[in-house]
Amino acid sequence: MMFLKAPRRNLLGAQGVIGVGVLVAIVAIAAYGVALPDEAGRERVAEPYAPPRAGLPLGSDDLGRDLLDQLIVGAGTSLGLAFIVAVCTTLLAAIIGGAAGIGPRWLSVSLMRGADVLLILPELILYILAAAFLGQSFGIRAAILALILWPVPARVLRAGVLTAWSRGHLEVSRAMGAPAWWLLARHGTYLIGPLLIPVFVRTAKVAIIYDATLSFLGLGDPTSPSWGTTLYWVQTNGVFLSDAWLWWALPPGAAITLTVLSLALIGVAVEERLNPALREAAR
Amino acid sequence: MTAVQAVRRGYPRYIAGRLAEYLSVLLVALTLNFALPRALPGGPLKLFGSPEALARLTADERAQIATQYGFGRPLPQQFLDYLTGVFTLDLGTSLSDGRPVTQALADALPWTLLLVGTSTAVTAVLGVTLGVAGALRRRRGKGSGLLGAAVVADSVPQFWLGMLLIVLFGVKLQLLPTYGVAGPEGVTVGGVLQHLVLPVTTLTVTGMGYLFLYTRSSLLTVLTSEPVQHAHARGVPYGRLVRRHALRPALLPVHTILMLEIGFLAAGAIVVETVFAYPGLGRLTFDAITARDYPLMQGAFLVLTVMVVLMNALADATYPLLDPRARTGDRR
Amino acid sequence: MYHRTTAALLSLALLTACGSSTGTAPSAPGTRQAKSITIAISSDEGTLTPFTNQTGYPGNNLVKLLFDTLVIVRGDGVAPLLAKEIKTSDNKTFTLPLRPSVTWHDGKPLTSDDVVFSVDFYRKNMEGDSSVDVRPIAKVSASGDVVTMTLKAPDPEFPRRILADMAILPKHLWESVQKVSTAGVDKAVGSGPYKLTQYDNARGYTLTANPAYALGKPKVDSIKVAVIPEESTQFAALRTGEVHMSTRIVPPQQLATLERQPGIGVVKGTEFASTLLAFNTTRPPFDRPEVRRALAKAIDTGDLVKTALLGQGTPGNPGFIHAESPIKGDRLPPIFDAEAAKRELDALGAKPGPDGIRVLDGKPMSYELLVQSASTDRLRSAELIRDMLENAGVAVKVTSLDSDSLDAKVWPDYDVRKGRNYDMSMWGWSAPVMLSSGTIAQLLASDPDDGSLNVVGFKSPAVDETIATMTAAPTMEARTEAAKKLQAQIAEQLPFLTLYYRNGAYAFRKDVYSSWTWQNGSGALNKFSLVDYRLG
Repeated sequence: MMFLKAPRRNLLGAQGVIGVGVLVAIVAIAAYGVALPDEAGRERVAEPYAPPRAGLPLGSDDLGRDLLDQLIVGAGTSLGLAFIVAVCTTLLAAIIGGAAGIGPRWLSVSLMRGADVLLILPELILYILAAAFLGQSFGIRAAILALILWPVPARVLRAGVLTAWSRGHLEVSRAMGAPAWWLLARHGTYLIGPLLIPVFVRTAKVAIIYDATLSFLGLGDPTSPSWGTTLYWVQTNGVFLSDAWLWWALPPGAAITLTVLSLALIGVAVEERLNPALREAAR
Repeated sequence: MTAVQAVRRGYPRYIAGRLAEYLSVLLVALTLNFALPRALPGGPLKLFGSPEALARLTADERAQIATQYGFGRPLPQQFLDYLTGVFTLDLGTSLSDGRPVTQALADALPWTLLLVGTSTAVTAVLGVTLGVAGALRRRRGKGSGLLGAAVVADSVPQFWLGMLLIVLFGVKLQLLPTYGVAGPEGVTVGGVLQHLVLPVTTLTVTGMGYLFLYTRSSLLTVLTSEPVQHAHARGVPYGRLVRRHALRPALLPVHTILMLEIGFLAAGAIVVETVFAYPGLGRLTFDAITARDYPLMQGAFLVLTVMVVLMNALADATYPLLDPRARTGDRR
Repeated sequence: MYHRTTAALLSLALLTACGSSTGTAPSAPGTRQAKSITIAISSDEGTLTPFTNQTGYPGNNLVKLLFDTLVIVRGDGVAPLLAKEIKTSDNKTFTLPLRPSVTWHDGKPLTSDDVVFSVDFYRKNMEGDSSVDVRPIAKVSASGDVVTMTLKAPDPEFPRRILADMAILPKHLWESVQKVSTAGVDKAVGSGPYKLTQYDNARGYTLTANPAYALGKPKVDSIKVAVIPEESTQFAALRTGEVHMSTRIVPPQQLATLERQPGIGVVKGTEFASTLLAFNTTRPPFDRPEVRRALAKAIDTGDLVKTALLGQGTPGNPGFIHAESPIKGDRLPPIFDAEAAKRELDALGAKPGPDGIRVLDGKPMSYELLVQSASTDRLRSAELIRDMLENAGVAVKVTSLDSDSLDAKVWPDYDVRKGRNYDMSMWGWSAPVMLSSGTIAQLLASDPDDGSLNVVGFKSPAVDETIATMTAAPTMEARTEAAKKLQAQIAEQLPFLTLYYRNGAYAFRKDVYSSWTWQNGSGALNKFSLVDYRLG
C-alpha cells in the first residue's frame, strides 16, 4: 500500500534536512544583518536605480541605497516578525482551540464565541487605531497580527480535537476516567500537531507579507526596512516593467518563498515524527 | 438506538441553545461595529468640503453640518438609531455620496459574490483535490512537487501577483482587460467573464496553499489512525478505504475553514479589488473607512457580521451531520 | 488530475481572450480626434454636482464640464464665459451682463435669476467640495440680463478667486434641495458643454456632448470616466489603450518609459500644489526662528527634487509663493547651506552630545517627523530629510501615518483653534491656495479667524501687519508688492520650509485623442482641452 510504503530515512528525512539547512542559512543572514551598522541599507551609496556592479551586487533602489544591505537588514525584521507571530498564533490557537474542544461546555462556548467576535472585527480599523494611538513599533505590529490571526486556526483546531476525541481508544480511556487534559497531552501531539503545522507555516507567511500589503493600502510604514517593504517599493517604482525586477524584485520574493518553503519542509518532517503511524512506517 | 437517530432527536434543542449564543455574539459585534469607526482619528467632516473651505467654517456652521447629517448628535442617540435601523433594515444614508447604505451595499454585493464566490469555489475544489493528492502521494516526487508549488504560490503577496498578471496578460500580451468589470460596450456576459479572469486567478493562486496544507495534514492523520488502519488490515480496498473511511473525518477541519471563507465573502477582497478596480464590497468598505463614512462602515460591517456568524453557526450545526461522533464533545 | 485542471483553466483564459476587444480602434489617420474617450480617475466623485464631488482635483474639473461659471481662467488671466464681459471701476462693484440664448441641459433658458439664486444658495450651503465661499459678496442683484455684485471690500482677485470658481446652478432644480450632500444625478444638470448621462459605481460616469452648447463646440461625443484606485493599474490600462488619459500625475519613475512608448503623449506644465516641511511653532524649540532657520538650512531641497522626484519638480521657494503664480512673487534663492546650518546650531549652543546628537537647552535634539503613508514622494523625502538633519547632528524619527490620522495630529477637525500635536510634519497645500493672496494670508495670520490655514501655529506681529496691508490693497499691483514683502518675511522666519512643487505631467493616448492643453491651476483636464470655444 502506497501510504504505508516505508521510506528508508530517519530523524528528519531529506526534506527536513533541506528545510533546516535553508532556514539556518536565512537565520544566519538575518543575524548578520542585525549586527550590521545602523546606516546599512539606509546610506546613499550610489546613484538611484544603479544596476548591479562590483561592490553593489544587487544594485541600488530609487534613492541610491544598497539593495543587498536592505535585503540583509530586512531579513531580521521579517524573520523576527514571522517567528514571533507564528509562535504566538499557533500557541493561542492550540490552547484555545484545544480547550474549546475538550473543556466544559461553558468554556467551549465562551471561547468560540469570543473567537467569533474577534473574527468579525474589521482588521484595517484595528491597524489604523493601533498606528495612531500605539505607534508602529515591532511589538505592536506583532501583537496585532497575532490577535487577528488566531481565531481561524483555533476554530479549525477545535474541529480537529472534536474528531480526534471520538476515536475509539480515547473514548475508552475517557470512559475509564482519564482526565481530559492528560489525554490531550498524551495523545494530542500526534492528533492535533499535524493541524498546527499549516497554522505555523501560514501565519509566518502572512506576517511577512502583511508589511507589504498594509503599505500597498496606504496604512503601513514603508520606511522601516523589511522584505515586505522592499516589495512595496518594487511595486511603486514599476520595477516589473523594467529589467530591474531581476535584482530588485526577485531577491526579496525568493527570500520570502524560501523561508516559507523551509518552514513547510520542516513541518512535514516534524509531522512524520509526531504521527506514530507515519513514524512506524518510517522505521 | 443508532447514532443517527440520537442525532436527530437532540437536534432541535442543540440548535436552540446555539441560537442564543449567536445572538449574543451579534450584539457584541454590533456594539463594536458602532464604536470602532467612531474611535478612528478624524471624522466625516472632511466629506463636506475641501480642507481649505472647512477651515473657514465657524463653530456654529460645523455644528450645524454635524447635526444635520447625524454624526454630531449625542452618541447614545446615534447608537439607539443605529440599533433601530439594524432591526428595521434602514441603515441610513452614506455620508460620502448621499446614497442609501442598503443601496450602496446592494450595488456592490453582486460583484463581490461573483468575484470572491467564484474564486472561493475554484480554490476549494483545487485546494482540496490537490491536498488529497498530496497526502496520498506524499512519498512520491509528485507529492513533494505539489507541496513546493502550493507553498511558492502561497508566498506571493496578492497585489504583487495581481500587478504581475496585469503586466503580463494586459500590457505585454494584450490578451485580457486590466481593470473594472466591463468594457466600453457595457455589461455583457462575455465582458464580465473576461474581466473576471485575472482577479480570480490572483485570489485562487494566493488562497490555495492554505487549503492544500490543511487538507493534506488532516487526511494524513486520519489515514494513519486506528479505525482506518484496522479497515486496511481487514482488507478493505484502498480506494474505498479513502473514500468511505478517511475522507469524511479528514475534511471536518477543512469544512470549518471553507465555511469561514464563505462567511468572509462579504468582506470582499480589498487588495484584489483595489488592484483591478473591481467595484465590490472590499473596496466599498475600504473607501468607507478612509472617508470615515460611519453609516456606510456600519452597514458593511453588519453584512460581514451577519454572514460570518451565520456561516459559523452553520459550520457548528453541520459538524454532527458530517461526523456524528463529534457531537459527544458538546454534550459533556 | 491536476494537469487537466490547469489545462482547463488555461484554455478558459485563452477562450475569453479571443473574444477580447481591449484597445480602441484608431480613428481616421491624422485627426486623432476620437468620438469617445475614456479617462481614469482615482476615486468615486459622487453625483458630480458642485456639492457632491469628493475631490478638488479632478472632481471639481469634472463638475466644471457639466456646469459653467461666469468667467473662466484662461492663460494668466480670466475670460468672460457666461458673462459677456466683466465691468468694474473700483474692484468693488462688478457688473456682469449675461450672454443671451444660453440654456440648461434640460432646455430651459439660463437667466440672471439663476445667478442671483446661485449666490444666495452658496451663502446658505457652505458644505461641498466645489462649493464657493461667497461671503465677500455683500449684495447681488439682477435687472434684465445684467447681474451686479457688490463686495464688502475691493478685491482685484475677485473674478479669478470666486467668479471663475462658482458654478451657476439652475434655480428650477435646486430651489427644492434641502440637504445638498444628498443631491442626486437629477441635480447634476448645468449649462456646461457636457451632460451627465450615466453614473453607476460599477462602470463610472459617461458624459455626453451637449449639442445645444451656445459658447462653443464640444470636441468629443462622449467622455467615459473610469474609477481606478491603483496608480499602477491606471498606467497599465493607459498602455493597453483601455484608458486614454490618466488624471494622476505620471510618477517620475515611469515618465521616461511612458514617453518612449509609441502612441502615448505627456502634457506638462506648472503645478501650484506645494509640499512643505511644517514646524510646530508652538512647541519648543521650533518656537525660535533661529532654530527653524538652522534646520531649514540643513535641508537640500534641490536634492529632494533630484532624488525623490527624479527631477520632476521645482525646488521650493523659501518664500512659499511660486514665482509663476498669479500673485507674481519674487524668485528667492534657495537657502540650503549645510555648513551654515552646523555653524548656526553651534552658535545656538547646541553642542553634540556623546552619541553625536546635539543638545539644545539641556534636551537632545531628537524629533519626530510625521509623513503620510500613502504618498511615495513624501515618504522618500522624509527619509532624505532624516538623513540630512542627522548629518547636522539632529536626530529624526520618521513616523508614517494614514493621512487622516496625521491630519488629526496636525490639524484636528481642520480647525486651527483646536491646537496641534507634532514636532515636524510633511505637509502640502493644493493648487488653489497658491492662486490668491487671501489664502496665502490664511497660512500665516495669527488670529485664528483670519489664519484658518495656520497649521503651524505661527504668530508674528510684523507678518500680521504685512498681511493686513496685502489683503486691504485695492489693486493687484499693490497686492503683489505686499506679497513680495511677505515672501521675504517667510524666508526669514521659516514657519515652514517649502520643499518643492511637483511638476504636472499627465499621460494620454495621442493615437486616440491629442487635444489636451495645459491650463495653469487646473492641469490638462479642463474645458479648453475638450471644447472649441467661441468666446469672442
